[in-house]
Amino acid sequence: MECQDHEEVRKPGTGCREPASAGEKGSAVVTGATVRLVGDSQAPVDQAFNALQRDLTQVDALLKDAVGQLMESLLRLQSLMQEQQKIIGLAVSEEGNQDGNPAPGRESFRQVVKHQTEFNGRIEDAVFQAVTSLQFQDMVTQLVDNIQIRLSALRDIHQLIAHQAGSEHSASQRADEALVQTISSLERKLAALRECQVRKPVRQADMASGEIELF
Amino acid sequence: MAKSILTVDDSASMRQMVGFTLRGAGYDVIEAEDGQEGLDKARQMVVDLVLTDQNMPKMDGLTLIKTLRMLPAYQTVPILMLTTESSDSMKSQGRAAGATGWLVKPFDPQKLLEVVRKCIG
Repeated sequence: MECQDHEEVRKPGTGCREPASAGEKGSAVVTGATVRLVGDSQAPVDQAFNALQRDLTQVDALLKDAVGQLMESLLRLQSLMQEQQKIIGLAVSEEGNQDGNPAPGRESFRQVVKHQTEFNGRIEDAVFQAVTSLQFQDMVTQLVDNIQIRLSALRDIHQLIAHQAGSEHSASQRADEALVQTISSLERKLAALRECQVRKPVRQADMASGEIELF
Repeated sequence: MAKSILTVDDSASMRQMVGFTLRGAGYDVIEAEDGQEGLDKARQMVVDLVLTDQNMPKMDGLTLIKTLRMLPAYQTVPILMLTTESSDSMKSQGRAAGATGWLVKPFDPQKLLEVVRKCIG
């Protein structure tokens, strides 16, 4: 059976349409406009999703680069501290070899060594604090990955809806089958979205060091 | 001879930070970027301690622990989980898989060293 009228409603069970009443006609016009709007939104919404994903990828790359460089600086600092500690150790050892030969300024030398060792301890504490803080990058990366997955799912859902709207708009013969497929795909995508929320890998809200449990 | 530690994490910066902490304390550190590579390296050389992340591509931390525990050489080697996951259910799974302990990220280098020293000296 061919359908002639553009302003029509679906006839249950037939997959085709029959002439609409005046009220139904108004409703069909609004529905048609909405369907066209949804269908036409596919390209700009896709562009927006793509831009969001590119921005997130860029944020992740910038963070990795920055934290990588900071870690290089900390490694260099650690290496310099170890060199300094070796020099202090050598000086202490030399000083020890001079036992019995009272050298002027020996007490001040010991004070310098003591202070230097304390300073090194404080520098190490500060470096360790920096290492704890820099781990934010690992968490941000995991959160960004999770956001990317959800964005992909949302884009797919929108594509499905827009595609379905396009099919309705062109009054496809196979609209019912397409609708069933769309609903089924939507259910899978929504389930994936829910899973993302449940499986959120990072729940930390600050950079305080995490708990430790030995079994 | 320095004790050896295998650290398994897909994040390069995390491997760098763990390596920084442990090497600075005199340990030999071997790195792997996912569970499968960790398993391969653990088979090539028996290490004194394994420190692994949970969420990784190819093979996750829990699977790595279960697989290692099936190897005779790794039945008593301490295996620590270092992860952002902090739920009780995940910890229970870790304990059941054979983990020695559970450390939640971010880690404090000083505390990590204390735990490692407690496990292997």
